[in-house]
Amino acid sequence: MARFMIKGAAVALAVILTGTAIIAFPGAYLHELAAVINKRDMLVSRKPPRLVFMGGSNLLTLNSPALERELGMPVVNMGLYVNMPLEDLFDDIARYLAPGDIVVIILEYKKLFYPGGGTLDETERLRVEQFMSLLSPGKYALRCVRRGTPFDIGRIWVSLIQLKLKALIKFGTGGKLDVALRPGVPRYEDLFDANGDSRYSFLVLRPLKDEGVNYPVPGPENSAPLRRMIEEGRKRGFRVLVSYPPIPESSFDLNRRQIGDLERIMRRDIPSALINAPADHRYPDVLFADTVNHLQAGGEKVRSRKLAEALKVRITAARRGGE
Amino acid sequence: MAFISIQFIVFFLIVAVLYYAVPHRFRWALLLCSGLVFYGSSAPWYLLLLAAVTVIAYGGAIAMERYGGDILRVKKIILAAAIVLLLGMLGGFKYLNFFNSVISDLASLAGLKYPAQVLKMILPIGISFYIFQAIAYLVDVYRGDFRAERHFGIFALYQSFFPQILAGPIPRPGLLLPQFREKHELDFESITEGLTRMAWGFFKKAVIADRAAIVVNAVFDHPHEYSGIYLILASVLFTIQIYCDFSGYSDIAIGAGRVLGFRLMENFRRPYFSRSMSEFWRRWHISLSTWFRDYLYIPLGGNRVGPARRQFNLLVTFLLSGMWHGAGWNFIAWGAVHGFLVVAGIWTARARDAAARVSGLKRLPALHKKLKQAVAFLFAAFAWIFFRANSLEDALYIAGNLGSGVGSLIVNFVTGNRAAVRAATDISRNGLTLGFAKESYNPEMIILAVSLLVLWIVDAVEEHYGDAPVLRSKPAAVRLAVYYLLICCILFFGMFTSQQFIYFRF
Repeated sequence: MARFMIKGAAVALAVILTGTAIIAFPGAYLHELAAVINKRDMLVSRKPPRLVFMGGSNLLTLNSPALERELGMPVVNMGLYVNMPLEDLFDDIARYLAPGDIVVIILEYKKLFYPGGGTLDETERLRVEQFMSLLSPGKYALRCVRRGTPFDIGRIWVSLIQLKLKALIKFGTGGKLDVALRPGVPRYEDLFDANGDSRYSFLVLRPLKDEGVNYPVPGPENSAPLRRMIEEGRKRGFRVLVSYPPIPESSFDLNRRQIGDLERIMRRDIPSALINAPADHRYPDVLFADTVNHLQAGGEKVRSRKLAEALKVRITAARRGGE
Repeated sequence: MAFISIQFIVFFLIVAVLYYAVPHRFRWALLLCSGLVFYGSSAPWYLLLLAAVTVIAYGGAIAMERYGGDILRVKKIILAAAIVLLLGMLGGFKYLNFFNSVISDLASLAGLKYPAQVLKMILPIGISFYIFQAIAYLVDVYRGDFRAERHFGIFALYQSFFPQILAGPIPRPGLLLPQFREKHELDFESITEGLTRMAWGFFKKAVIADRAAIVVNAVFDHPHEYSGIYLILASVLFTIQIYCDFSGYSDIAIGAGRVLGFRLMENFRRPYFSRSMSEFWRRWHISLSTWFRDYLYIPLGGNRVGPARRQFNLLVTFLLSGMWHGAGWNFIAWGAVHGFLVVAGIWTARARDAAARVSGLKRLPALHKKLKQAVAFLFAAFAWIFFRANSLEDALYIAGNLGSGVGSLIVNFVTGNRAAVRAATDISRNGLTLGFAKESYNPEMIILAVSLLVLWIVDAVEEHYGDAPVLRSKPAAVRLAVYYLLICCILFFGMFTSQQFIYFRF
């Protein structure tokens, strides 16, 4: 029996060591959400004071270079995907932020109305957690244990190993091993510019995804995550501002009452952090691309200009020492 | 509870440890409870059905012995009543929807109103398997090949043994029931053998079958969007998918049984190395094909009747085998195609032999064998189209369009017209390429190709050495390296998509 157990343990150990070696070895993960690593590295590489945008994929329809020119400070666009848990991402990158930095949070309405994640199913939760694990492995492992799903740790890391091996196979067999050996998403620089903006435009599709969705009646819990992040920023010496995301006129009109209620809650709970009102980013439906969160180039331009104007006021005030 | 899940692995480990920890006299109870938990985890009400089948078979067999004695007529009546009850249950759950839709179609043709929607039945997992298992037991008792089991618990265990309850192998009572009374000592050689077999099954299912399924589903779900070359690719991949899916399941079931000290019936013997369709059926789903042979084909007269009647018996057997697989016209067509191919094999045997002699193939036995294997594989692949297609219309469309665009593609390829080849092979839709995300298409196909090569090598080695345990004769270091590689491949290249085994729905 001892012999059998020793052999079994030896095989298991060899498999675990192989997996650990694959993870530890520098390399790309064949998934666009692995760009979270590249974006974090981009943030680290920029000197403070920086303007850091955080939120979902609505930020992929933003013109950061224009904002950078307009505001005279480096802009880092951390936006990637609506279901990435923003509070966790915030905590993970907060350690890289310095006094003088300004974080602008622009969450999609889906996230503003469902702060706890709403309808996120288990597969989707694991999908985003695996990439978040790349930023803070210990934190997510502990979370899996606490929630009573310790096997998720294995599932997350096995999935990451698979993505790394697929990148290695794809680029290794294509004679581009150097691409596979760079951390993050393969060919990050082809997908995102130096500020973290997407180099690709979203397809124009109709009907827009999530068009006609009715949001629930909001409550105090809707502002809670934002309140916590603002407080955390205050403790660490950087500022956290909040902007509303773009919304098509039709969706705005459909949810006018709920959005009005949300605005009142936000004005009451985080008055000094808000830089605009929902109506400021209400755009004609034709300016949207494939979903209610993604603008086409024309909309992107208008949105960026409006954001620059709102931020300029805040930044100038901050430089003068006022709120 | 899915076989490829952490829950099953934990469940199995607990059962295996407890099995060897508890005294022999309690083991049947442990296995029975495990079977009920395992089967009931899908839907607790399935247990009622399983209980009904168990009671009918148990009671029927004892009644045959007690009241039948030597009076054949009484025994026959009891057997017939039990079989009618069992087949009635199978028919009710499995075929009611189908017959209902047939009646509905006929009614609408006749201009009559028929409320088809009032009769919708849910098909319980594994029902076809354990009902056939119960029928085999009843018939064996009727024939006097096997004494009726008096211990209800042991018999219930026979019906609910968890490694094989969902999709077989359909055991013979004489093979499995006595094993429940045998004391299985802790034997690490058996355990290692069983675990290796399970790992190989996991590899076939998670690495090959579920990966091939993505391409197969993409094409078979929208056949009109693809040209012949992709219809051929998907058909060949389904041929491989279903083999890896079902034989993978069987490997896990047989391996799990082996870990616990049981020897379950082999279900596959490298079917794609068959040289004819009749040989294919001696190697494919052996527990079912021998069931049909023993309990249908032979009672119909088998080979003891004239050629015409024999061929008729074969056709009936294959048609019913098709129906057993699923209640749908495409399954019936699949059975019919196989029946026709087997019968055609008999008709053409002499002509093929003569052709081989005239062409000189007889003098090249190795080449002749390979050719026969290739033809049998292509026939099997063609027949699988009917099995996999979502409807008979789709199956006929795919079968009729396998060659569409293939000729021009070959011409363009040969003449170096790259643009035309690229245009014909560009099948990206909505960011997906044959079901895979565009960026992962290449690595997925490379992994699939390499794992198919591994499968082919392993099967070829087994084919060469027969069923002798090749790995067991190798040095410990080689064996450990194989286990290590197998586990790494499953973990690092497996698709854990919670896709169920295909045969679970039968």
